[in-house]
Amino acid sequence: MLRLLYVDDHPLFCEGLARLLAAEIPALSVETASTREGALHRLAELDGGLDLCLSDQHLSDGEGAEIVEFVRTRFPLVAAGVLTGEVTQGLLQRLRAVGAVACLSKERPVASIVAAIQTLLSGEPVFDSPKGPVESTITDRRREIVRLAAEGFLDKQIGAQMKISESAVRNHWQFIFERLGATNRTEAVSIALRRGLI
Amino acid sequence: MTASSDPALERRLFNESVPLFFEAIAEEPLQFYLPTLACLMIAWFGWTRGGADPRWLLAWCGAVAATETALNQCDRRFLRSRPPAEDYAFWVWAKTLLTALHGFTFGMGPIVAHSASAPICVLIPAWAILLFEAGLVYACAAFPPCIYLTTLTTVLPSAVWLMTTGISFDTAAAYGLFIAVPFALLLGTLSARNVRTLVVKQVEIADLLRRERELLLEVQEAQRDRSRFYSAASHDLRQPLHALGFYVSLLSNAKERSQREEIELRIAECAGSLDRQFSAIIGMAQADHAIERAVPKPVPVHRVLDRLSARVRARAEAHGLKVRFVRSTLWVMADEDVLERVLGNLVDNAMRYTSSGGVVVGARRSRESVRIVVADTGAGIDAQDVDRIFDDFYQVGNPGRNRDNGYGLGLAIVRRLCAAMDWTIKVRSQVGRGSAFVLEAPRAAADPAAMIEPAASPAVDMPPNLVVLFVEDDELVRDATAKLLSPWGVRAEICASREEAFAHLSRRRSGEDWRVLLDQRLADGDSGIEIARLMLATAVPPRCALLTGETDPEVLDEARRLGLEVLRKPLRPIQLRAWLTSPRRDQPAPLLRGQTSA
Repeated sequence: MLRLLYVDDHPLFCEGLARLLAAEIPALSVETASTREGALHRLAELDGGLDLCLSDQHLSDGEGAEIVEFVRTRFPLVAAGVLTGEVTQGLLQRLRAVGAVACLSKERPVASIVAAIQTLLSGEPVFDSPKGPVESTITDRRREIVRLAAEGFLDKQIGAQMKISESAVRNHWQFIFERLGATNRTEAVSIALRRGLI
Repeated sequence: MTASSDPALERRLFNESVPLFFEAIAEEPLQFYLPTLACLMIAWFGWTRGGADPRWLLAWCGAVAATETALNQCDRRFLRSRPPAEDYAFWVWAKTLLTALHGFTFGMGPIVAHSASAPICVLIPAWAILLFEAGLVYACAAFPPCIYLTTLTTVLPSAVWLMTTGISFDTAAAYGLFIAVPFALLLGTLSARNVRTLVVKQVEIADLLRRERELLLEVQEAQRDRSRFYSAASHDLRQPLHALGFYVSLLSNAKERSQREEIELRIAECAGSLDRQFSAIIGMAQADHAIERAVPKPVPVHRVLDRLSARVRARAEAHGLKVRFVRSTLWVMADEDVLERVLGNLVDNAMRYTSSGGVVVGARRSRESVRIVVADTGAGIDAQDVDRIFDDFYQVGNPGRNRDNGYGLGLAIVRRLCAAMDWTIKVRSQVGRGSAFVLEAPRAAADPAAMIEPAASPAVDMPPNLVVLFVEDDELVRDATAKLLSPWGVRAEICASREEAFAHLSRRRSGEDWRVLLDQRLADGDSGIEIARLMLATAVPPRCALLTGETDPEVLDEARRLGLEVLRKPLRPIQLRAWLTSPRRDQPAPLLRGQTSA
């Protein structure tokens, strides 16, 4: 059972997201808090007994980034991140400095936030850029793999070109499939082409 | 205060000081006639003590009174009729001549009242002249030439005459008068300087007030713009919002499943429509924000076009349109984000109104600027609509306001951005043939340093120099963890026993940040805690954590005493990553507001 603490001072949004997460990710149990004080209090009570803490950056009594800083230094085993209306380089740097896992843009539709949380639970970070959500993009390295595959290279050849082992390439493909929502190589290449990723 | 080098300013200061020249003592009749009173007194002395001819004395008093009246009339006439600024030169010199004449007649005093036997008949008029000078400096400070000329006409005639009489007393009085001249001139200059300061301040205040009025008008204009925008936006948003309420109440009454499903569909459509409208409206807010953040830099046009090309390709294909971006080597001095927004909106607009054919985007050089053209083979725009298409929410040919055709904001955003950046945007169009939008922005020289794209946030965010050492005797777990760690871009050393672990650790290099994850239950009865204890005793202890499925309180206590984190089995990726990316222990925990250090 994975545990999430979600901090947001907007009651409707908070409840809506919690319900949606409960429905989409059954293995996740969600708690909510609406103020920074409430969140810190609950974190102290749980004593690090949760997996992920996500907070709205803009709270009535403080910043989500403050909660993240607190969590990451007090409870190193707990992942933390923020949702924000405006992703800035300053905020990103501040979050990366403490090893946060997420900086999600509120421009994302709710379904996309759920997908991002699923990504986070799989161990991957999600950092949106100041220009907007980075959903369904893949890292440069993986993009290179897809590009080579689009040119007809096999995994072994791709590995040779990129100086990694064939099994590493296969590993990458798993992540690529997940990110792009594909089930095989051909589909991944076609999706990547359509989205202009390669 | 010296004269500035700006002739326009000098002209303005002159025009401001002229009314002061005429207002100085216009409303103070008593002061005006003081010279006449002085004359009468002098005449009395001259007649009773000096035995001068009373007819000359009276004539003299009359002349002084007459010139005084003329001066007063001159002032009043000016103030009443308020002549235009072009005539000012005439008026000031007219008054100057009158004043000089007045001074001249008054200055006759020592001559008219002269008596060889009674020095007082010379003294008092001479003294009166000095007082007259003092009054002159005050009254004519706004126009110094008047002071200078009048001083000369008042003082010099009698002073020179007194020198020629040969009487020693007269000579003394003459010297006194001569000395007065430079003093009067100096005082006149200083006085004029004061008046000039006053006038300069007056002009500054007038300018500030005018500027304030202009700003106020700008603010009012902006507020009017904003309320117009809001009322148009709220009008557009009302429809799906009402529909939503309507469907929700229908939903509660719908008994059959098929009915409910259909209503749910409609509700989803309304929500989608609201979302899209909001995005369109937010686009306007973002445009404003982009303007605030804008920093013009040399930007290669092709970079922006490449990005746009990637973005619109899918949509163009879906609609069967050909969108071509002509390769360009030109550079513009602009904010890249704003440029991309403007061109993006123009291309979107072109695609929206083109049902067949295509869109071409290219750049041309035009002296010191670059003209970027977005041309389409679309429906074209009527001559009467050409100006209005840039208005908020205006759409041509969409009377039913079908939302699939956009929200009429794209070009409004373009206009706003161009106005803020001082770029011109023009449109040429022919109905049935197509349109061409031309954006003109200042050209920049190619800058190799700017070829490097502004760095997006790096995808890799594992701490640098991180090395994970994982000690686990179960082969499956080792394998799974290796697969998990491999795409994270972190160096991982995975082994099964204590010996191998220390072997790996011995190869550690300085500067590397090693994190050791130890399974509690290892082969040959070995335990993770034991290994951790030994590792922590080394010279540079690595950060260690324990991986365990058990809940034995002794083990957990021991782990806590050693300062080990405890990860529970099964290993959760999010937890492992959280531990790996946690800041180094030597970093102090940040204090939150209201906390004292714990």
